Amino acid sequence: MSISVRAEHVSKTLGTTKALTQINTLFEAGLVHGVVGPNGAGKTTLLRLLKGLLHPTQGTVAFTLQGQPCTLKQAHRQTGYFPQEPSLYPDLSVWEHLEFFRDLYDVDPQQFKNRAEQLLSATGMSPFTDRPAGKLSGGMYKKLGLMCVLLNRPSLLLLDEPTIGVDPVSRQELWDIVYSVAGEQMTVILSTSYMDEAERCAKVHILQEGHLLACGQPQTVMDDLHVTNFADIFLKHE
Amino acid sequence: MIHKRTVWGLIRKEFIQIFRDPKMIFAIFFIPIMQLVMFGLALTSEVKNIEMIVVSKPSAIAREIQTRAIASKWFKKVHGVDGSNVVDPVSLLDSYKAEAVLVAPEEGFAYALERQNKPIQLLINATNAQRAQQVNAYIGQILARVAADRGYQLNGPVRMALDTRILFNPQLSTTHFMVPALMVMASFIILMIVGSMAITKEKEMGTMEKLISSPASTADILLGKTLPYFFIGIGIITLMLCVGVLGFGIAFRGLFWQLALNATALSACALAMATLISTVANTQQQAMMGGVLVLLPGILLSGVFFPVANIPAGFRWICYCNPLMYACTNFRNIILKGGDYLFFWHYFAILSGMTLCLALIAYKNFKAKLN
Repeated sequence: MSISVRAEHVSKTLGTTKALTQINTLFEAGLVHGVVGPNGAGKTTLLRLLKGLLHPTQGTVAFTLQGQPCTLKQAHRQTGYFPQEPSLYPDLSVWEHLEFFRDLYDVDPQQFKNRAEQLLSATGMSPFTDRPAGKLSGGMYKKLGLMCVLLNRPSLLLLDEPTIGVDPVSRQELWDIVYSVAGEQMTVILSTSYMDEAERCAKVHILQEGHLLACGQPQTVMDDLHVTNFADIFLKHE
Repeated sequence: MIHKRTVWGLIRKEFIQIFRDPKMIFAIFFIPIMQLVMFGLALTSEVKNIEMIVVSKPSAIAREIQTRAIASKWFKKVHGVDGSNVVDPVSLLDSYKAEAVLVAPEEGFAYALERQNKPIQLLINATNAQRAQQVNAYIGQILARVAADRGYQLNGPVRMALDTRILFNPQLSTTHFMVPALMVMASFIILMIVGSMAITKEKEMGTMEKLISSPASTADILLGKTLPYFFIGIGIITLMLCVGVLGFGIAFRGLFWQLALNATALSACALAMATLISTVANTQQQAMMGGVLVLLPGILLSGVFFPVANIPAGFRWICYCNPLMYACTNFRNIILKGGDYLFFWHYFAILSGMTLCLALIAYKNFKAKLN
């Protein structure tokens, strides 16, 4: 039931700034895609366009669900979006957040119970269900944000720099969660400015200053661009 | 399309946040009651505590005038000044020792009232013109009574004996007049400020992006964010009505369904305005500033403190565009006068119409902003 997304000639201008220019790429269903680039490359803009929070100035974003084209509205209901700042309510507890997102996403109460227990156990958050979000550590806070997005089992999961500002252990845990949910049931598109994380994706889409430099499997991209690591791509293009 | 579960989830979340924040509880429930009690007791248009000195040679009639004045409770005695020894009465006004000085002619009050060819002089500090007019009228009444009791025939226009019946507010209490208006004012202020801040808080914290990116529709978000405050608004008005009736002894003469309908329209209007402000404001501080900018003229031109009839005709149309004016007048109509049906429906229809227009504009703006 995962969704594939195709961006065709997508450009986006924000005010007077050209955030994206002529992006042509395909996010195949069931894979973990990495949108890679330094700060200001246009990663967040691209993810917001895919979510439908922004509309392209030029070009189109097309969604396919189980081989059939679907509208943005249909895709929207099945897309989970994890913003760069997974802002939560500091006065609500972990469990109250899960209940709130259950209602927000209209998740069946029976399914909710099972899913919430699974997610809490996968993230190791079970002992902290009564703790207010404002008193969680950075890593736990991100994990709670991710749990809230995963509650309704989206077919397309968009993660905007999910591991930024998180300690290495929590980063590993977040990646484990992402890998455990991606697959036949879910396409994952995440943006990152950490080059080591880019190498863990099945497919990378390299962005710089709003332009798509390359896309493909990490090793293939590096070979094509004659670099030994992703950081060299951006250093080379400076 | 409205998703009930989503709206309920938002309402539940909002209530948890409100009742978990002691400052919010204080602002929502304590401040309106404090305003009602404070303003109900303090804001009065009755002219009282007038410091008056009767300047005259010692006489029974001078003492009687003084005694009657103090007994009326409009005047109070000025200590440390002997009226029989005053040489320059104007200096008493200059030095703020008195607000009014009643000066008997050389021959005394009895002579002046009996013969009426010697004027009694009344000096009034008229820096507050309204108060001065009232002082003049009070003293005129007291002198007329003293003259009548002593059997003096006063000249002047033909005097009629009026059989006056004071309806709806027999005690002529300003408090009774003010409390219904204060209910409108206090609830509107709280709902508008807190409502707009609650929406902008989501923007400020970045949680609005989460709501937008969820399947919740614009209507779901707006209903979920405003309905808790709507119920709180009804609660505040009910609480204030109880304080008005039990604390201030106001006789509730209208029908509860009339008050409930009017309170519904008022709360909805305040929240529509709050939503509209939140579409312009990006931070809670901006929302509060926007609220104050709207509230100040809104309250001053609503008839809460000054009668709309006093406003020059050229500017009165502003009052007619002010929903608070309709709410305030109808609250007084229901609580004090028993809620005349024709008047009630007339003002309720206008208030509801305005609320609907504001709500539609707020909805459109909110949706446009989200997109």
